[in-house]
Amino acid sequence: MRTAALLFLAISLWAQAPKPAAAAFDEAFFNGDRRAILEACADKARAIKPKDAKYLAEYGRAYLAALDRPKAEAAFKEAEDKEPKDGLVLRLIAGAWLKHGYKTEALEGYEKIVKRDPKNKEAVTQAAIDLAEVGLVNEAERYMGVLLALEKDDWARFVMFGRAFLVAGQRRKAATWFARAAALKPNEEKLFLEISRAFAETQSVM
Amino acid sequence: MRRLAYCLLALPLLSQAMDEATLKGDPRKLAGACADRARLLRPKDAKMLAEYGRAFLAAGERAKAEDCFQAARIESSRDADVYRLIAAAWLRAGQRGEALKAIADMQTADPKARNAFTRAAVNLQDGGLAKEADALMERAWILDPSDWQNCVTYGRSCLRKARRESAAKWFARATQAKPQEERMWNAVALAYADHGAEPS
Repeated sequence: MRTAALLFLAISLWAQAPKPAAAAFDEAFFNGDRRAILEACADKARAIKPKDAKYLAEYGRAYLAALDRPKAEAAFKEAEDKEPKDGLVLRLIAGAWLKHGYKTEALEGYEKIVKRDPKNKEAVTQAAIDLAEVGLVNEAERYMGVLLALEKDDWARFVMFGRAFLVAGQRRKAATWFARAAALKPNEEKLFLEISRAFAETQSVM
Repeated sequence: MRRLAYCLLALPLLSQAMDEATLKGDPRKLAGACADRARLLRPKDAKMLAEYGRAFLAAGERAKAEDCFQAARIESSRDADVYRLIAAAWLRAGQRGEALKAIADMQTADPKARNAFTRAAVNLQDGGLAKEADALMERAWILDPSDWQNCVTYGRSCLRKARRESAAKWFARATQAKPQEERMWNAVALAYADHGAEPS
């Protein structure tokens, strides 16, 4: 009897309680607080179709940017549970930590790529680039070494490494990779275009 | 005869190695040298020609740049993206008048190229021409208001330039265009997460 009374009381209170207003995603909303926008958009995306592990990893990044670490970790965990051996998903998670200044979590995340999906050239390449661009040279070179062991002749990836080092202001390191690429394909138009673009975009040449 | 002379001139350049020491040199000269090398190999693709032009501009070689831009226009006279690349090159070199002329040519060459218009609007915005960028983006949007990707791309560039109100307008349009699209919400969230920085 007492339980039933409590139940009725709870129901009537719930009915009277003001419902949280659904965000009206209009101009006023997008002019508002950045964290609230981030959180609401990531929530909305997750609510629609939380199936794809790569998207889940990206929602996690949005939550990290919104300073909501518990939600970020939940999204990362869900992503990792769905695709524990997908190097690209693992790289997205590690990259999210790195972008927001969590170096330890990031390095642990990148290490998972080598352990679980060691032949994924794209993931290894991206890991090296992420790390090189933020100036973590030794860590970046470790992943570049992993890629070299998988693929000795991939000039396009070597140019990407060179560009990443240019971004970090590491001219000498960049030169090593560009020279390696140029030696492999001295008559490849795209190679020279990419190197020229890298210098034009990252150095003060204008 | 002229082509033969050009080939003869090119041979010594092609036979030169581009070694580590060379690549440690002056970045301006390197941008030009690499563009020279690339151009000598297969100068046919209009977009690539436009990009060599950009590298030559970066290297301070305006005459060579103009040659490349002209060749690109001849190669693909109806391709809006070629004109956009030329405009972007002028913008990066700080030549706003030349850039706006290329943007006008782009709209004449292909008046319905909404994706190229969007990319060009982003280039204009990044080059500090916000008013012109807004006008061009409006034109792109009128061509297809349901294209949420273009709205997000442009909104992102507004955030990058700290134009919060303009960004809000374009993100709101994106959400109205496709409110049930997971990728759209994700793209908007990441735009704010990155403060509008160009996606890597």
